[in-house]
Amino acid sequence: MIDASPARTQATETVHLWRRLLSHRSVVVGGILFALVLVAALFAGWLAPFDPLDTDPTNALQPPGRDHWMGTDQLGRDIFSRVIHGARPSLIMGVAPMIISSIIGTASGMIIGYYGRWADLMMTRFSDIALAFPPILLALTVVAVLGPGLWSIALALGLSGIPFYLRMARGQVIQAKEAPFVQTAVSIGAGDARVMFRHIIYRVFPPILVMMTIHVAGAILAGAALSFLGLGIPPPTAEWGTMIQDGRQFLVLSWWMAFFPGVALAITVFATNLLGDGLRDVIDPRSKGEPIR
Amino acid sequence: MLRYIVSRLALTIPVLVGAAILIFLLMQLVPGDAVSARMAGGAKLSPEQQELMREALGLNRPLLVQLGDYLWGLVRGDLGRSVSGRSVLGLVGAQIPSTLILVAAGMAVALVIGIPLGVLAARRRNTMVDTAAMGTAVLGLSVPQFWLGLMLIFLFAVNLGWFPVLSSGGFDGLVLPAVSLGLAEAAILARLVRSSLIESLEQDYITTARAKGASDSRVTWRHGLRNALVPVVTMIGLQIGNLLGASVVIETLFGRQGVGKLVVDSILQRELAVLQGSILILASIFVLINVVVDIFYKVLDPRVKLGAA
Repeated sequence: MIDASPARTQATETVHLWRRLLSHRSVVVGGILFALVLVAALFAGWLAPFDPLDTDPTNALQPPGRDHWMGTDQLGRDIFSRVIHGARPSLIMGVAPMIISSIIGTASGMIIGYYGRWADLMMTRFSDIALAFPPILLALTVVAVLGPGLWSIALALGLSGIPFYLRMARGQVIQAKEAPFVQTAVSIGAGDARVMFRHIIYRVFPPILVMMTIHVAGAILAGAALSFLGLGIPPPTAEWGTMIQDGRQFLVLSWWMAFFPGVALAITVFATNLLGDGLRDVIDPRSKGEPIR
Repeated sequence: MLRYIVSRLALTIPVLVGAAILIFLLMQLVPGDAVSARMAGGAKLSPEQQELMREALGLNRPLLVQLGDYLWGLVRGDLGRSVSGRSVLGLVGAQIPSTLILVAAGMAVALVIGIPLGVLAARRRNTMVDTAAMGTAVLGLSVPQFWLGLMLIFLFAVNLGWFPVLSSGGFDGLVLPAVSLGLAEAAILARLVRSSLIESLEQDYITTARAKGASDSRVTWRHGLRNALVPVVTMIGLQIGNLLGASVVIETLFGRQGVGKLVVDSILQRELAVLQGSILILASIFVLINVVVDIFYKVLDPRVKLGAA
């Protein structure tokens, strides 16, 4: 006998989705790499062989070797330890803007898409204006207002990402509003909140999830770029963008100072991009999302 | 077509006015004002002199009046004055050609690498070549432009001596910044061209062309790619925005003059009027380039209506 109860069907669908995700090469490779970065960010204190702030002038600018796998910087600090510790601010700069943008952008996009009228007109015009600025320029302006720092960058990148989510969520809701399953829910008396958050959200969520992943990659890159420009976390905190800027001063003498933080940054973004690509292939194959930068 | 162009241009006016208002309001949130910036720059002013200067610059007036004055200034081509008293329009205007040259060169790199790579991947889809090409594209998207630029400097300028370390004028000084800027966009283009071309190659008219005996290359380059490039044109508009944004970092890295470098310098030196003017000019260039792209899109696909592109 076939059990076709809704709960069983949903559970089967979830299992099926996970199977498809876990058999997708990009998801697996991206997931493993991202997990490694996450472990580094969470357990940096245990994994790093040295204190990232410990200076040792007698060992300054040492090339990669047995004691210091990635060499040392101009103050004799161990680059490998600093690269491991640098994972945390980079992930914060990637994930925090995504959370800010996705919550504000998706919620407002869903509301204006559902109710329409003047709020829709106003918000779409506002997002037209915000989209007139390349995102990193808007972020730079916000950093100029708030002053340099990790949370300034996170907020700046978060605010500049809102219009992208708003547009995506609004478009999805406008389409979903006309779908038969939504019309049925309305006809049997479901309230607005129930229609939006029990029915329409399932249509909105997949492309938003893909956008969130792609956004993390873009935000990590943009955050590192802002730090490289001297608008990020002040020294001596280990952060990849700032480390690359430090390495720039000593490029001729010690290439490793800039090289290894850049590799770590590229691996993290590569992992996130792979995850985003895989998620898109599995849960939203129609979209052709490209990075928010 | 003329009507379309005029309407499309008219649509940019509210966006540009809105952008100017947004930037003006953001600048009001920055702690301090033009007078405190002058004092930070070394000027020694008594409290009375500061007050007089605020009066002279109109900083004591209500915000709405200042905004109106600012917008009226924009209409007359006046973007304000820097702390040292120089015209912002003059300062920014002098840097625009350098930035536009860099952005055009970056876009050229993106097109020259991205389109052939996308075509190659589409023609050999689901083979090792496709996997390698798309893997390279994702990698290209993941490498930070400023780090790539630094590594290119190390390899080609410091070690091989082929190009100058700093990007002064001239073609030599443009190569490394343009490559650093364009590779990530090449990756985006390659992915888009691949998916768009695969879709095109499945159309009926392609089957007809093949049935008429057209060679594989001819089918791909003459028939398939032509249609596949329509979405690519839209993407190019967005990519120019990315390049304008990224020019901020690349110009700073290579010590190249340009609006991007001016933006960073003005943030670090608290030159708010210059920052405000630079950002507004870059946003205006971005908006206008998108208008040109939309018009070009309309030429490529006459079915496009206003607002649909």
